[in-house]
Parts: sequence; structure tokens; C-alpha cells
Amino acid sequence: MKLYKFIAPALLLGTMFGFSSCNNEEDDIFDGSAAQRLEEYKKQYASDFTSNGGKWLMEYFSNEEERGYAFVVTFNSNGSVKVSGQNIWMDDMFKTDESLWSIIADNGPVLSFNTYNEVLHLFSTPENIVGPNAPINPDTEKDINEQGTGHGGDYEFVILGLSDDGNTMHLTGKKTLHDIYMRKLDSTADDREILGAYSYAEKTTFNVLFPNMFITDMNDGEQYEVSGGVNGIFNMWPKNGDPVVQTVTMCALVGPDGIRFRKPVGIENAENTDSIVVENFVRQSDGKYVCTYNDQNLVLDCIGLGNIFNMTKYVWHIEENAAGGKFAQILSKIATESKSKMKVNFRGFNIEYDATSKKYALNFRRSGSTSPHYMYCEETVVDDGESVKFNVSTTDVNNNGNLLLQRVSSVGDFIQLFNASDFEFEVGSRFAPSRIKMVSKTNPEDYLNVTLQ
Amino acid sequence: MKYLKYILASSFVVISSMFISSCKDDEFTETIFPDDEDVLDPSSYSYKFDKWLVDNFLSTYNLEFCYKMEDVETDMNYNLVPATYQNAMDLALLTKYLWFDAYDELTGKEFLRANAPRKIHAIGSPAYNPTSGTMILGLAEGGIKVSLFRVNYMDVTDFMQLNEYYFRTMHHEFAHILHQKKSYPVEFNLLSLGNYDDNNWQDRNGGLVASLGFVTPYASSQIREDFAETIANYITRTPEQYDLILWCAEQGWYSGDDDMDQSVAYAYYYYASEYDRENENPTYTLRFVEGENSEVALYDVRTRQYLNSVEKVENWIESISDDVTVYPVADKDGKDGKEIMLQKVNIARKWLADEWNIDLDKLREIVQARQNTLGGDSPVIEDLRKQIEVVQ
Repeated sequence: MKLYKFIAPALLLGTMFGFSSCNNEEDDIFDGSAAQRLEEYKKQYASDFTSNGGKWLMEYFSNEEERGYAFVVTFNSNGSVKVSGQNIWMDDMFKTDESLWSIIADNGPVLSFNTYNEVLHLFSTPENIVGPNAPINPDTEKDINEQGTGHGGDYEFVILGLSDDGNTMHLTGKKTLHDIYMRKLDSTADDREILGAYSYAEKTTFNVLFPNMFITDMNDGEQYEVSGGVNGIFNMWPKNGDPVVQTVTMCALVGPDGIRFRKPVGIENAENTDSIVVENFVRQSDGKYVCTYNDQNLVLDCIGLGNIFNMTKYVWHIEENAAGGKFAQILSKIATESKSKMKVNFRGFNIEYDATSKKYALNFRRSGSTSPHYMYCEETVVDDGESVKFNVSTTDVNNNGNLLLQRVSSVGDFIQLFNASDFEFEVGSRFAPSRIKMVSKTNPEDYLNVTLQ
Repeated sequence: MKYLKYILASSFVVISSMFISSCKDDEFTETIFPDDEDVLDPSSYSYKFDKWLVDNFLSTYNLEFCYKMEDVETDMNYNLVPATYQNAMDLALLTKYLWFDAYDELTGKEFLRANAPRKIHAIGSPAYNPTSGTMILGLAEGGIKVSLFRVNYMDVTDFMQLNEYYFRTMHHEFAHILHQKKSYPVEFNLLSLGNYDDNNWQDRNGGLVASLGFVTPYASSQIREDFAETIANYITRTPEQYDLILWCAEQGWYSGDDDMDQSVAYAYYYYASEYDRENENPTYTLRFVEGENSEVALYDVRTRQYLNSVEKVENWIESISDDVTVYPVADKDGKDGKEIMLQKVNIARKWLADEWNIDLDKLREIVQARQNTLGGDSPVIEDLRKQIEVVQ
């Protein structure tokens, strides 16, 4: 029983030590309360948004079925904000509007455009979408009568953070949870010029007439087919895969410097054993696009430009008044000779496919008649598929072509120079080469301009 | 056991002393919330408007006029957008002019200080109900908050539009605030019992519901909406418009042989030929119509003219008899719509007088006088705007 004499004081001491350990408070993990820290963040982000002129490019997605839109947003420290835009919902006209903004405490710091801005809130208003670009109900072929949805876009954005270099603000739409990026712009940047470039890129980068695009994974050579792009919606599936099952669809913002998808999207290969993830394609000097997301090396390309004259359904027109160097001289001579010897006005040449003879031909175009003047030709694609060489015959011709060659000798000169030239192409977008500058590789002064008819 | 008791007793003393000592140092510390939120910055873009709101609403009535959209203050089921800055200013000015100043003129400031909502939220878009095809123009919640929608469509030059979408909504929502604080008499509940239709009110024709004793189709949705509509329409409708509704309430209405489609209704008919007369084949006319801004009118299908006052309708009846004999549609609903409507106004009048010491007719007079100064080329809105422009 004497044991209790030792146990009792030991227990007492132990208990006291236990309590004394509670006496000292833990050091605070944070410098201030949650509210104070949130307030600090609000001030910091407000400062970030307004710094150096406060001008940003916003890459905005309103919903999953529409393309992305670019806005130029200029934040002022007095609480006003100017938002500029130019897109199909504004009849492709540049528009700017001033309203108010603030950073509020909500789900963390939230950027709120809290009075109506005609440019930004157009994508949030619940009114029905009307006009030529309104979505169509496939069953009724009439406007979709959404009644209360509109584009469904956000005007409040949870701020996720500023990049280390201070040039990219990452936001997420509070309602849609879409990732929205804002890129810092120079304070002197011209809103109209920037948005004009986006508008031009939207309209000219892709063309429904040239749907054959593909992504190549440069690491393993695997290829993926791509269609769409004209309306900012891309469909992607593995080459040799099942397009019905394996196609993924994603909307994107198409700009002058590249293509950004609404979010990273995975595409499985044909065997479903591997996949690539596409997110941000950067435009290269050769017009192709490269995505290096997650250390990948993905190249978005289309059929080589050299092959486009081999598409039998298209007619290409060699413009008579838009050539350079020797080509300009000869075309001018043809015009004069045509006038004097045939009493017709020269209207340029076409490169087209003659379905009757099943051959490609150079077709002399003139006033007063649409009868073809064919001089049949062959096209050879050289090098990496990017340049071509033509071989137009002066003997394999139809009757009109024969007569032409006899009367207008300069046509023969043109064919001689045309055949002697290796051409490489200059285009606005290699994915939509509806107008091509064909430049002689040996003498760049000599060139032709060719348009898709 | 003796030692065990000793141990327990000692432990109890020690533990108790620890608890007591641990409470000793508990003291209030500084607030964890930053307290510089509400300070107005004179360099701010919206300073003049914000200061005007503080001076005219917050300081005077303890009311926050919120024009910077706060989605947490809205129903997240709706897609809503903020009000434009300019329209928010106009709405604030008109709210004061037509609502607060009107009541102040009648009751003095204390009444609204005690009973005005604590928050008015201006929202740019309507709140659409896709299933019913209706839209919400205003909401009153718990006697505390009033939300006014569709602010971005406000046209200060269009009196009828202002009246329908904003002024009437203000008084409608304030009627809700008042009855949420003091219930209206239960006898009001009995006047139209059995004639409410919460689900299909939007498909009911204004003439038909008037004949049942409702001032608008929306009044026929629920009792409390009926009460608010009774007050708001009495206050804000022009006398010509209100009298025309009472005239409609006295009529019988034809809306098809099976009465299934209640969206169209006619008050008169005639026989286009003797053959039609012999075969009891009437042609209906004088259709009840509501304009875009809820202006009540009757449309003569035969001569294609709109009649928006009782005087014009009576002239029409007189003049058309030279040409063709017209007959009023028999009133078969068994209700004296006009009498019910007037009873409802009387109940509201008495309730406002007894419970709130408000003279409804005097209030109507004041509001009408103020309303009549607005719209068209009226300089009043410009004068009101100057209140903000001159803020220092």
C-alpha cells in the first residue's frame, strides 16, 4: 500500500505538467486573421491589376459551346474599368465601354465587374441570343429560345494568382468555373489594333474549304486528325481511330499568336493506350502551331501547301494585275497582245482540273467568253511538300489553247517562265490558303498571286 | 481506498485551479475584421453618387441602395447582370422622388425611417422564369430588402414604361414590406377565395380577371400579391387607366365557347349579317389588350382602333350603333368585379389608415402629381440628376 504514497505525488505532478503545457499558446501560423489576410490580398491584387497602366488582355470563355473571345481591359485605381471588344456579337465592330470594378471578399478575393459593361456583360445577360449568329435548334431550325440563359458567361472571377513574372493573372469564372487568363499589356498598346488582330485571326486562320488538319506528336510520331476551327470549335480524334467514339470537342480562342483551348483536353490514341493533352498552341514563323504543354511537343499542321493545287474541286486564279518581276512584265504583254490580236481583254489564268480529260490545265481567261483555253499541265511537289514546280505543255492543249498559243506569243513566254520556276508559297494562314503568293525560289522578285475561286 | 480518495481529491483541486487560472487572462482583443471598408474615397469614380446615396438614403433612412451587383444578395438560380451606372443613378433618384419623398410628404421622415427596407438592390436584367415564360420585376424579402430588376431597360422619357416596370414595382414591393410587418385584415382573404391561380395567372386575360375582381392578372396569382397589386395599381395608375379597369370589371367577357383559352377575351359582339343573326353566329369585338408597358386598352377588331379610356369606349359604343348594333357579352361569372375591386381598395385604405396612419388617397394624389412631372421632354429628371452632380 505504500506504493500509493509515491503514485499520488507523481500523478499530481504529471497532471500539473500536462496543464502547464497548455498554458503557452501556439504561435500563430498566419500573420493576421483570415479577414485581415483577405483584405491584404484584395489590396495587393487591386494594385496588381492597376499597375503600369492597368491594361490586360482577357481570354474569355462564356460557355462550352462557343469560341473564346478577347477583351482588352484597362483597370483604373479610381474604381472604373474600360473593356473593349470586337467579335461577331458586336457585328465585328470595335466597341468599348466604361463601368465599375472592385475586388470583393467572397470565395477568396474575387474580381467583380459590378456595374453593367456593354462589352463584357453581353455574355452574361440572360436575354435570348438573337441575330444571324444565334444558335439554331437542329429540330426546328429556328433560334434556340433559351429564356433566361443567354451566353451564360461570368462577370465575377475568383482570383487564383499572378504568375511570378507578373504578366499573367489566372482567374476562374465564379459560376462557370472556366479558366480565364489575363495577359499584361503595355500601357501604350492600342486596344483597337490588338482586337483587330484577333478579329482578323478569327476570320482568316481557318477555312471550311481546307478541313484537313492534324496534330503530330513529335515524340512518338503518333498523329491525330483535326477538323473545325472556323467557329473556334475543334474536333480531334486519333488517326486510324474511331471518330464516332474517340472524337473530343473543345472550344478555343484563336488569336494572332496562337490558339488557346478553354481547358487542357486529352485525346487518346487509336489503341486507347496513350493520350496527348492539348492546351495552348503557339503560332510558329512557318505558320504551324506547337503545343509544349506538359513537356509535350505537338505540332498542328495541315496538308503541305504544295499539295493544294492537287485538289480537283478547286479552281485557282492567277491574278493578272498582282504579279511581280518578270511575271508582271509578261502578263502585261499578254494583255496588250490579247487586245491587239484577239480583240479581247485578258482576265488572267486559272489553274484547274478538267474533268473531261481528267487532267490539270492552265486556262486562259478572257472577256466575252467562258470557253476554256486549256494548256494541260502537271504539278510536281518538291522538297517537304511546301513548294511546287509546274510543267505546262504547249502541245497538249485543246483547240482554243492551240489558237491562243498561235496568236498570242507571250502566252508561250509565260509558260516558259512558269515552267522554269520553282515556287514557294507565302500565305496569311497555311490552314486557310485562299490567297497565295507564289514566289520564284531562284528570283524572289518574280511572283504571282493566286486566289481560290 | 483511502489513498485513492486522496489522489482523486488532490487531482480535482489541481484541475479546478488550472481551469480558473486559464480563464483569468481571457480579454477582448482587437477586431479581426478590417474597419476601413465604408470610407468613401473622394478620388473614386463613383464618389459623387456614393456620397449622395449615403446622404440621402443611408444617413437619413439607414437604407443601403446597392447598385454594385452583389450576387450573394440574389437568387443564384437566375442569370442576372448588374445595372448600368447611369441607370442605377436615375433609379436611385426616382426612388427617392417617387417613393421616399412622396411618403415623407405625407407622413414625415420617421415613418420610412422605421419602416423602409434596409436595402434596395438594383439589378440590370429581369429574372426570367423559363418554365412559365414570366419575369420577375421586383422582390421584397422579409421586410428588409427590396430588389428592383430590369434597370438596364429603363427609359426616363417613357412615362408608361417607368410606371409599369419601376414605380408600380416600388409601391408593390413596399406594400409587401408593410404587410410583412403588420398583416392585412383576414377579410381580404375571403373576397376572391377560390379564384386565385398561382400556376397559370400569366395566361389569364386582364378583362377576365378584372371581372372577377382582380386589378391585374398577377393579382390573381396569390392573396398577398392581390393585396400588393391593389395598393400599387391604385397609387400609380392614372385615373383614366384605373377607371378603365373598373369599367372592364363590370363587363362580361367571352373567351371562346369552352373558356379554355383565357388569354383572349372580348366584351362586345355584333352580327355581321342577317344570316349570322338568324343562325346565332356572333362576331366578337372590343378585345382586352395590354400594351408592352401594361397600358390597358380595348381593341375594336372591326375598325382596328385602340380605346384606352372609358370616355373613348363610351364614344365608340355610341358611334358604332349608327353602323351596326353591338351587344355586351353577358357576365356569367357571378361576380361583381367592380364591387370586389373597390372593396379590396377599401380594406387596403382602412388598413393603411388604422395600422400605418397613411391616407391612401392622399398618397395617391401625391404620387400621381410627382409621376405626372416625368416622362417625355420633362426637365425633372435632369434637375434630379443635378443633385448628384453638385455633390462635393
